[in-house]
Amino acid sequence: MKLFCACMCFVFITCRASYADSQVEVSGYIELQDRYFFQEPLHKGLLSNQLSIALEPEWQVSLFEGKHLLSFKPFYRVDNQDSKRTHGDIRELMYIYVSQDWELYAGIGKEFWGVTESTHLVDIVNQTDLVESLDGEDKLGQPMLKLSLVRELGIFDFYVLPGFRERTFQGSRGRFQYQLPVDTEGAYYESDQKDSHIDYALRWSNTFDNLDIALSWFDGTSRDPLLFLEEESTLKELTLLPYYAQIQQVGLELQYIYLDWTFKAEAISREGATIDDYWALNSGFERTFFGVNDSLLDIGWLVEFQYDSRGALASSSAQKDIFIGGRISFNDSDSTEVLMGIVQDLDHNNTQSLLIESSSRFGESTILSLDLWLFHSKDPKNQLYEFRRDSFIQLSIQRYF
Amino acid sequence: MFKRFSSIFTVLLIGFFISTPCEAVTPEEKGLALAKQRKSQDTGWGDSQAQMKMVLRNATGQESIRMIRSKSLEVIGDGDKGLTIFDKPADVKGTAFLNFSHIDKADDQWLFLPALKRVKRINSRNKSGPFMGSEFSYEDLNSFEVKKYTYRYLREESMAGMVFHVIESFPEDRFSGYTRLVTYLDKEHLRVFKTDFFDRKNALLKTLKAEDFRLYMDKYWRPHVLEVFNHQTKKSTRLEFETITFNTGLSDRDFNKNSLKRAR
Repeated sequence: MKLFCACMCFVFITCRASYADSQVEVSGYIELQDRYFFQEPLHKGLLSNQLSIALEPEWQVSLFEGKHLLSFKPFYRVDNQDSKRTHGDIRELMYIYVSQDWELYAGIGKEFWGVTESTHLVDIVNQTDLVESLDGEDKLGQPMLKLSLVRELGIFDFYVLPGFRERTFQGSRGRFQYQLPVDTEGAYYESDQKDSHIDYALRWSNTFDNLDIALSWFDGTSRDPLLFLEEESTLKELTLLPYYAQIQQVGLELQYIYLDWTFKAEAISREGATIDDYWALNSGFERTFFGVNDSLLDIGWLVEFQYDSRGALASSSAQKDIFIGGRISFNDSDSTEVLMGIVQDLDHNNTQSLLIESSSRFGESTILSLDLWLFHSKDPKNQLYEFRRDSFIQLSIQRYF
Repeated sequence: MFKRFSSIFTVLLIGFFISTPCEAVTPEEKGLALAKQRKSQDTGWGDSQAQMKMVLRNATGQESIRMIRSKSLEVIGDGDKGLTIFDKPADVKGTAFLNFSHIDKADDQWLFLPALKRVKRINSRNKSGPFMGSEFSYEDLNSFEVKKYTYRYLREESMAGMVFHVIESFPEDRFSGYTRLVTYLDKEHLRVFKTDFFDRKNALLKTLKAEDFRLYMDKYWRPHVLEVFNHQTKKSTRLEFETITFNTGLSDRDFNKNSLKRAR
């Protein structure tokens, strides 16, 4: 109800935006997506073709010459096979007050922290919308109050994060199942306040010539659930229940440019009363060759090393892996690009995943993307083993407006 | 006796060279002097904003449109600060690019990707890369700074009823995409009317032509049309400045990572 009123107020303001020296902008996209899983699933009855439509419009209002900014970005996807993937979210409903050298943000929004490409260790503010995409790049909107100070010594961000979002998981028919289905209804918390717990975060960032550095701290509910086997659950069978612990995390981001090389590193140290304290690192470099062989092609190479001190007990599959990626930019008027990446597990020789993403513009505002994901694993101890028959090809057509 | 004669002779010799009129100046010196004059005439504008339409045309005549807005801040003693916001095509709407140009070192560049809400520091060594698939490279769009090149005056030339200084410039940056540039500056106001760009093999790559010069604040000339034609691919890009405004109240605080994220 509250949300509805807020949205209505927002619409009202935008209708009257012809005064107060303001501007309203509408943008966004509609997407048609199809995923085809060409391997027989591990578990019976799982889908092999997944068709979905998504819509993400965006309204942006600027009042009093940019002193007050408002934005609203809802998202909705309808999936024809996995009912859990049919979902909606308010990605953004934000008010920003811009002052001389500070800004105040209030509402629902998204923060990105990080410099690496293969995983985003430090990026903790927003919860991952995992059912949307396995790569973890899609995030759920996070309620926040943020104060950002711009100073000589850098940018200081202070966050109060009231309200917690639980991770989305695939439904019973969806692919990327773990050994047992995840019962999101049965999620439980370390804190009595559950998803009303107020979390805090701080971040400092600055640039020193060729070096970009950021330090961050987070105290609150972990966005990464630990999945525990539960014998008595809301469903009749054995399931996995997500457990959200209280944690404190310190994060470091570094990026250094030397000629046409770029070195990147992210490291986190995480501790909590009910978890095994651990640290993780993702570090590597990127080098791009421009105008290869006198053509217009740019080819960029990317190598990143991922390490998690928990080893085999890591809640992610990136416990000790190497990522090698290449990006080809055609530099044409259609912004055609191809990205290829391979993740090789260094502890388990038989575990790799390959990703190929390509995209190009058709006409003035349509983007066509074709992705291929291949998972290979022969080692039951590795998390990727569960997805070894979930390789797929994905076609997506996005029309922007 | 001889010593005193030689010291007098030396003084006279030095005096002779100091008082020598300009005709004996080398082409390098003349080119440099004109470059310095060109730069000093374009100093003191403070800040400006522009709305631009970029039309990309391929060899078969097909066109695609880019709509861009830019904000610029003059930095005395160093290169300019620039913020470029993309409005069209619709899929890149909201993408913004922040550039701190430097004279003696590589530029600092950041790109804001609105879908990910990510500010990414990018390696600016790629000055020669095409800007948004157009025939303009990042190098072309950066502010002109005297120290970025060495110069050689070639000749005077008359074209379309105007007289031009023709100057050759050699980029100092070894990552530049060009071996040399040949620039045509009009004699009266030292405005760049035409530039020929020679690629790394010293072959003629493209030609830039500037049109529709308008005077701002009684001092600063700005072309409203820039057109680049690529002789090797037969593609062209036309950049039209729909509006240019000065003294818009921009300062350093409009050119940082936070303002980059808020760019709209």
